[in-house]
Amino acid sequence: MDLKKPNNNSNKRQRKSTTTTTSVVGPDNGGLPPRRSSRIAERKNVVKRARHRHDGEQLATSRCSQLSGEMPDEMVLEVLARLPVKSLLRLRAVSRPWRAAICAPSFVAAHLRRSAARHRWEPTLLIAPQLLDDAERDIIWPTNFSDTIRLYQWRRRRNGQTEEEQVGAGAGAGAGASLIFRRSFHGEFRSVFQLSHCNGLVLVPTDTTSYVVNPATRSAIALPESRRRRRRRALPQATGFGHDPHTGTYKVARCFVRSGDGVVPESTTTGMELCTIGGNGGVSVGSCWREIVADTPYPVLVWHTATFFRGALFFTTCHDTAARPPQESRLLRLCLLDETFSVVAPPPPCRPPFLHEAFHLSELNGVLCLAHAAGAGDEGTSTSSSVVIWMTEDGVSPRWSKRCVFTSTSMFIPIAPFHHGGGGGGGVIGKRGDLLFFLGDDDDGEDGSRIGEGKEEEKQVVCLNGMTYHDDEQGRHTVVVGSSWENLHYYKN
Amino acid sequence: MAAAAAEATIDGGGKMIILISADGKRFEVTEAVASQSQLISNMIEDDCTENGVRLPNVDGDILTMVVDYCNMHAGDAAADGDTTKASSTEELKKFDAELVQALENPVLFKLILAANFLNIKSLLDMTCQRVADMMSGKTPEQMRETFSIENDFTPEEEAAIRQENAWAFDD
Repeated sequence: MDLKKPNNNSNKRQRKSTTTTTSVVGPDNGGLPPRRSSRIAERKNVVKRARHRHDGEQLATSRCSQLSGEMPDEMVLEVLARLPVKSLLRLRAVSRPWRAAICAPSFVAAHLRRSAARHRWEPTLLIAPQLLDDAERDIIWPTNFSDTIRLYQWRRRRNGQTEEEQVGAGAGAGAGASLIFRRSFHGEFRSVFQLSHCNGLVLVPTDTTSYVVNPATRSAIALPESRRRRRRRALPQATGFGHDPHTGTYKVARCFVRSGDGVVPESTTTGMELCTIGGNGGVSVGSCWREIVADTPYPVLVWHTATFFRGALFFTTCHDTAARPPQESRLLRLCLLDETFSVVAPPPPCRPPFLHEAFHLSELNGVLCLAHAAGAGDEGTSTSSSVVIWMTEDGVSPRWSKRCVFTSTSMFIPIAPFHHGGGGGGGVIGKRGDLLFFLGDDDDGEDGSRIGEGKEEEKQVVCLNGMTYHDDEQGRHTVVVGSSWENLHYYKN
Repeated sequence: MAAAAAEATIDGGGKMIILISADGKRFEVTEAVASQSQLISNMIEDDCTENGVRLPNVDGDILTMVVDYCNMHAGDAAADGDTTKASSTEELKKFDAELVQALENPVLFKLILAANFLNIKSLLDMTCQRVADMMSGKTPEQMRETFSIENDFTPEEEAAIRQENAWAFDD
């Protein structure tokens, strides 16, 4: 026993010292009074020598430090990973090694991971309002949409925040969003379609070219032109943006009309084309568009943005197609690995008829979430004005479980989960119309628990219509259009 | 097993461990306090702390701060608010803020290195965050000064980079 233990321990120790960044206990017994010598002490000296060697290597690398004369690179990167994006952009101008370190894909990925972990329960919303060029109010049908894309970041102000944090979150009535990305596209497009978001990257589809934007590095790439998009001002088609974990690439999917006029559904077949972008979490040169050979099994809803969940994009199909009864919508799953389609079953009580007007899909912290405006007679609802939120962790053959039911006169779209912190419970942030709601998990989160019922007004936190957009550079608040909230996204920073 | 029994705690305080700084200062702390350092925790597990733990790259004044921090935070790791010794969350926050608030940069950097070397995650997190908070509003010039960095851009290159991200420079 006594003989065995030291060996085990010394093995364990050496293993540890190679996997952690720390190591070393100084030189052997340096300034200490001599102690009894024993087998154990000899063993320790061996261990210490081994660890000392390891440390020597480490010191050698830290002497090669390029980023700072004060700290090893590793520590400087630890600090940089905690900085907000705006500071990082500024600090690119410090020196060549700093610029290289901040732009390195590995650092970008580390920064994203850190902020995603930190904001897992305090989500940041990315808002892309459609802005008007002129600050004239009360325009009923505005035409002067800006061709500048602005992305704003909004974070809930919480009790216990410091004053500094509150200023950062925006002044005003607690409903300020601060600018994190702005770029003018000088007449390259006339309107922007609904944005989608994946791992901190944002897809900006427009009526001409589509762009992928990385607000963290403030870079934007234009996707190549598709053969299918020669006609300018084409009808907006469904798009999706996701990440293929097997190849480490991002894929943009876009529907197109293969035959028919795209207006009359029964004479229309739709296909899908894909564009693959870079790898390693960075935006790099885009490849060409490729068509998926098979048609989509059902025509995909136009004006629609897919939901990305676990390596697949989830589209919604049209229901008004006489050629393919019954009249209902389907959830169409496009696997980004093998690029094949499958139809996914909706929650059981939602069918039939399962109509796209009545549900909304979203992804909340690794769970696929479907909000369904339940009709009268659906199981588990007593009125015709309930929204049921279903969740599943399996996107291939989902087993939906009912998370909550609440009364609502119109559709509620779940956007992000939140947590009060300090064991105070949490819930779901969602929007209805132009109001943002925080629905708390007041109950113990059992299936079917009813949250927020009849109390929505109390839980409303932000009226998006009243939100102030802080645009430092222009020094004024910008007028936003009432319908801008369509581009509201859960954003993990 | 036998060894573990022999190390049984004395009146709840646990076995004492001696930490020795680079300049020979000795600190006597309980195992519970010292184990917040993953490095020392590993050594305790391996049963090689009875000669004292020499920390050749941590100065005495830095180690004083580390030991203060560990003493203060021994409560959270040991028991979930159950012990009488556990400080309240507010007290801890106040203590942490005061610990790093007044520090000059060189001292703060040394504290980061010590936290990294000793592998005390919460202290590393707090000190790095403090430096990050200080850095967040700084200009590139101020950063070069703080971190002793040589500017190896040509003036034209630097101007181009600044132009690229002009919006990030106005505050």
